[in-house]
Amino acid sequence: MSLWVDKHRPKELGKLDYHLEQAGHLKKLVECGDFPHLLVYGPPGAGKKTRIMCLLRELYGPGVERLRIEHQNFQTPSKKKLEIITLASNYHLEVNPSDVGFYDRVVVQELIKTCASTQQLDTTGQRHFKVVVLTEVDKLTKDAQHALRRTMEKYMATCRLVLCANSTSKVIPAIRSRCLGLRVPAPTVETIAQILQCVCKKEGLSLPSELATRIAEKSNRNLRRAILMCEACKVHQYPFSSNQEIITPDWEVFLQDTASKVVEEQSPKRLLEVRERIYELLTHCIPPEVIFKGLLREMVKFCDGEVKCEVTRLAAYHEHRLHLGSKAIYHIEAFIASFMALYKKFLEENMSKMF
Amino acid sequence: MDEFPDPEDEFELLHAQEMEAMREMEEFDVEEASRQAALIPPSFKRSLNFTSPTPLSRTPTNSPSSRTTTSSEPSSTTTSSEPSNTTTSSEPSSTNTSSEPSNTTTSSEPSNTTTSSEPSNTTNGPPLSHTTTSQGTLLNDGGTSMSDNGVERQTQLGGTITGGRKRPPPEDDGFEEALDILDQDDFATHRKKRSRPLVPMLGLSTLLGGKKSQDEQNEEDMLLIQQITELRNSLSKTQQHNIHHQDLQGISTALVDRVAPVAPNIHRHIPSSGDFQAVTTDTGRRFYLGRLEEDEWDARVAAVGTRVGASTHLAVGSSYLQLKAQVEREQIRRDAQLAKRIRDEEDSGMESGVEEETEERESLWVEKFKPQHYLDLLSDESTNRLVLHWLKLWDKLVFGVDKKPKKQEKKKKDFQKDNKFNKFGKKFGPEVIEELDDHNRPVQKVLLLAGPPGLGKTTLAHVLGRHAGYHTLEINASNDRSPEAFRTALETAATMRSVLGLSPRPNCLVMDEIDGAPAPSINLLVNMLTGKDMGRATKKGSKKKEATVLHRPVICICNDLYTPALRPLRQIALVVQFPPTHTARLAQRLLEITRKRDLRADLSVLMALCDKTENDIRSCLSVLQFVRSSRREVRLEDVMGAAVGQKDHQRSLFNMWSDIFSIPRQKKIRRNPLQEPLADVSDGTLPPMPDLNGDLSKVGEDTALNYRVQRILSTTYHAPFDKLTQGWFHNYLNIKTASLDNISRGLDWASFTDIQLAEVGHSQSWSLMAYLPYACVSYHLLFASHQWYKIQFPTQMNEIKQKQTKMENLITAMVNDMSPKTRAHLNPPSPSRMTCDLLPFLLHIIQPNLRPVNTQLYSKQERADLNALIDTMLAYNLTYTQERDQNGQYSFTLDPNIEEVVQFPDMKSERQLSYPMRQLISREVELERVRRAEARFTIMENETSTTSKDKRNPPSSKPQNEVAATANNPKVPLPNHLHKLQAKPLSKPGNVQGAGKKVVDGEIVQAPRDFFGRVIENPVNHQAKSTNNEIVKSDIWFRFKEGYSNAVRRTIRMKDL
Repeated sequence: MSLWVDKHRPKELGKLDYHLEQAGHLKKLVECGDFPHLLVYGPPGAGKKTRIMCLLRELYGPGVERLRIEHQNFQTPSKKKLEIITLASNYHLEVNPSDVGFYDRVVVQELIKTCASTQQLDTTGQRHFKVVVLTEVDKLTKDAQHALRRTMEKYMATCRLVLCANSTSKVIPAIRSRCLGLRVPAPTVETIAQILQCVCKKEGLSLPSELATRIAEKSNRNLRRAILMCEACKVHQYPFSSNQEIITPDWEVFLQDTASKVVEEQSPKRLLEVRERIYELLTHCIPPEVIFKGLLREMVKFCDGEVKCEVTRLAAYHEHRLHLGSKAIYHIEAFIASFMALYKKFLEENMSKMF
Repeated sequence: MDEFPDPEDEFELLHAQEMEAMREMEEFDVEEASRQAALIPPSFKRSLNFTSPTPLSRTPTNSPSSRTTTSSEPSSTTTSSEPSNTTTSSEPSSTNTSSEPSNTTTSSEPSNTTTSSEPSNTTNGPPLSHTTTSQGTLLNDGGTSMSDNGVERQTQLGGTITGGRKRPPPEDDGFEEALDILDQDDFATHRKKRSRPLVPMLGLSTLLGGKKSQDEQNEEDMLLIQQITELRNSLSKTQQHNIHHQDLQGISTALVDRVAPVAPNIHRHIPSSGDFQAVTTDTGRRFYLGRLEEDEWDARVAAVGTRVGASTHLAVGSSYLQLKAQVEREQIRRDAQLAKRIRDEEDSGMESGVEEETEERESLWVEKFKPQHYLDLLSDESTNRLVLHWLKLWDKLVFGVDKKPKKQEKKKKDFQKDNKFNKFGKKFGPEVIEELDDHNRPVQKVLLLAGPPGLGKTTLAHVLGRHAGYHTLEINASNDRSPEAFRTALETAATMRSVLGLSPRPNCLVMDEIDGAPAPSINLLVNMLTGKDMGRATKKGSKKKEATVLHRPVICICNDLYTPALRPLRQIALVVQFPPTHTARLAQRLLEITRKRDLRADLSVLMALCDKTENDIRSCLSVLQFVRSSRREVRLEDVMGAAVGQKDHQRSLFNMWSDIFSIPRQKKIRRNPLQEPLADVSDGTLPPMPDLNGDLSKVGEDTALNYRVQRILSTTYHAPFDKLTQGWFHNYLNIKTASLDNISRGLDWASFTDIQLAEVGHSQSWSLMAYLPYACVSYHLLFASHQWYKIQFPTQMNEIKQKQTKMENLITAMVNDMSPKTRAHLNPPSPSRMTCDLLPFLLHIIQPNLRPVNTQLYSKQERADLNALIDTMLAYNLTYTQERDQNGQYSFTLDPNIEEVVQFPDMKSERQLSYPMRQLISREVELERVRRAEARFTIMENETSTTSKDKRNPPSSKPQNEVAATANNPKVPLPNHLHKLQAKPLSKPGNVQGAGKKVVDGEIVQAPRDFFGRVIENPVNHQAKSTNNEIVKSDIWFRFKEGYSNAVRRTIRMKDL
């Protein structure tokens, strides 16, 4: 537990650094004894999981922090054996059903059934329900989500679900309506800088406020990343200087280079080179959405107003198709190719205007 | 089987087919006449027979016999033996039936009965010996073998001359024979049938010269003969008239009708009354010849006699018995004729049907125009030769070399020599088969013909089998092909030959459609072919060894050579891939056929048809026949409209890709359906296509495009679109001409395909697949060029996928073994999230700037950093392991090698820890792990064994202190619930702890080093050893040995580390 992210993570609702009002609401919610299913959503690094853990601690006491890893086995109707890893304490169970991909429905049904069908024996001093935390709900298949909504109602007496998602757009309305939505927005840059200062103070280090702000800006308002960045910076160079280099992940640099390659030259040959790079990114488990975003961010810098709109539209169009399809490379390349065509036309027009 | 027929017979064997055909041709000329003869009432015909010695008058009656003369000599065939010639396979029985009654009735006339009962002698006897002995036999038996019409006539003549003589004297007989031969000779030259039969004739006529003196005595007789011939002449004229009259009738009547009324004695079904004899033709049809009762027969003969007597010809005064024999022969011959005609009808019913345009009786053209001879074959000549060569390689084994005449043998040897030098000449490896001493089989014991349907593989096998002198035996998919059935078929084929029939040829097995046969059957075949070893192995078994070895050629035919079941067969077989027929050649043949069938067709149309069907002869013919059934002209639109050539081609992916990327040659556009109507306009017929009014050049272009679209649609209409698109994606950027606009449009289609496929996969709505070929069309239209590109197989996608899986596995391996607490806050612990956020920074964080010196030399701050690092690494389940790279150099790499995941190829390499540093960290991580495990263990010990705590206290306190002291961090991850329990032992031995600390401090201060720069910890060890002897008594203890020799070997306890 020596990464700063882990070490300085608040464990109680009262110790949260931001969204304090929300924390107060949560506290009240727990105090009144019962609480509904929760759907916690927000961008990565905003503190969803921290809040969930705090909430559980508030509910059950420090016992929830005694976690164990369990390997659960399931069998699909087609006799296929599945194994999924769950994280459990005596009071709750955490699972990421999208780990098993297509078969997530089985996991959702079976796991929750087994967990929720048992009553708590000793209800004195304890809650009469268990909590099942499902992560990445937005990645569940529609089947699994539909299976979930039935289960949610059926085992309401013994079980509460805490769903965790990045966005509700992929959660079916039926589930959304069954849960209390809890949006955890990303912390502001100022908050992040403040937290960084706080962490450094705890570590006994002095962090220049400029550097803190820069890190906060660079982290895209992702607190986890900000703290990691900060620690990496510390490892890289300590004592801090306000203009020191902030470590950026390789893939970001790589993606930026790729985008600038696209802008540099528009030809089939270049497209082939870019394809190799996109393949490289994909093999390194960089999600295609991130690639789209990164490319667009770089590309837009080189475009004029009207073209900017068009490029963005193209990116949106192709990303949408990406979600419909299955092979990311086609869609990314299609986006790049159409950008190339558009950009080339744009350049040629500019040239002709000049002469 | 061993003895081979002598050369003359062999010739017949080889050319029996041709000869038969020739015979049939001849028959054709006289068919009308013979049919006529059948219609003539017996009495009438017989009278004709008796009284018309001149060639002119003889024609109608002679016609059946003239057909037989073609075999080898004119006089050798008898009327009674004729059936044996004509109805080949089962004729002996039929001759018996006909001869049987005659035997019983005409026992007094031995000469005639023998003639009829010994047909085979006369037919198969060598010609030369026959001519020389003919005199003798004639003298003895009264013309054993000469029962030709001439003989008949001659015997009659003899009768007239001698005047009711019962048995003519030998001399007279000889004379008569000569006379007859003269007559015959005359007849033969007159007919100009064949030059060959004449040779023995001449020999006879010279013989005749020697007898001249005797003949002169009988000048009177000659006069008489002249009279008789005159009489015959006059009669024949009237007869001829009659024939003409009846001819018309005969033609008008249908064939079936013709048969039935004329032959009350021959039935197609078992006759309802009376005795009968069954006859089977070689086509498998069965006929039933009614048998006359003896009385009835006699009565009939008697009736004939009276009728004959009533006519003028009885004046000749031949004996009753002679007449009776005559009648018998007549009867027999007529029956035989009928039988033959029926058979002929069946065999080549078309032959007559063609002329008479009885279209409804036509068989399929495919059958009718099947090549009969080697030269008719349409398939590739080299393939034909290859197959024939292979078949000929079997000659040595099958036909043997025993009785071969010199010439033949020499020829064969030459042939074999040739083989030795051709490409598969090595096949004459001597393979000794038990029982048979020196019989050689080709090394490739089986021929495997492979190719698409309709190219004539089966036909080739049959024709060549026949050509090489075999009787082809076909086993195809319609037969039972279980292993047992296979075995019996193979064994019978190998061991038996057809006993019945004219030419007992050895069998050649043709296994058609073998790719559909079950694998066990094919394995059986392979075992039998390679039989030798198998036979020995299964000697004890019930199977006989010799039965499992095949002595006959086997030709297997398949469409798909790469059927898994065929794999063993492929190894031992001579695999001949059937090349497609040349379009021009096929079209030429089609043209011939259309001419024959009175169907107007242009060569270009036929070429188009060939193109469309991909040179499938069968479907070409079917289309033509179909067109012919309604019309007399084939037009291009017929061809285009016909639903042929749209087979489910198993086109390979590469073909599809090359189709997509290439624009077809101009020649293919010949199929343009608009060209033919143009020609039609000139003919005066109306153009069937209304859009001809437009600009023609433009129309051509349009259709070219249209054709291209159609072509792609047809090739890809059930392609594996996934792979197809991948292949396109992989290759399209190599097309130089592609513009960016085209590229983005093409990619749009690619992503469309992807979306469709995803949707199909998700919702199982396969109907969406119908749209996908259009994506291929657009790829084609956007990227096709005339240039040729090397198309690569799209391996990249799979490689990428594998790499990605590997990366994901690395991360999952890391995540799975993480400590649960760390894991709980990874939200979510999916690989992509990890790589984006955590791992890049983590990799930096775990590589701090530490001095690569002994840890003992670290300052407190450094020490803390190191501990933090190790803690992190343990929390994230990382460590360094030693690995050896290709150069044999050792290096430490991260264990779940997340470096690989995080780092990109051409990025500037990140700062990396040095080798000793990594070694140090790895060591520390390992130690820390053990320490934690030990800590947990001891704690559990303490917890569980409360009673033994007091006893254990002295030894257990020490390590705990050590741990607490050396680790110097309070974050030893003890589970929450144990914190209380741990406090007890700590509180008790407070003094000891202080002592321990002192020791540690002392170490740091003194730091005595050994050779390797390690701190010598001997004093501590000694102390520990001397004080803690009880450790040895405890349940678990470690003994750690380091180094290679005793020089540095020492015992170190875990707790000391």
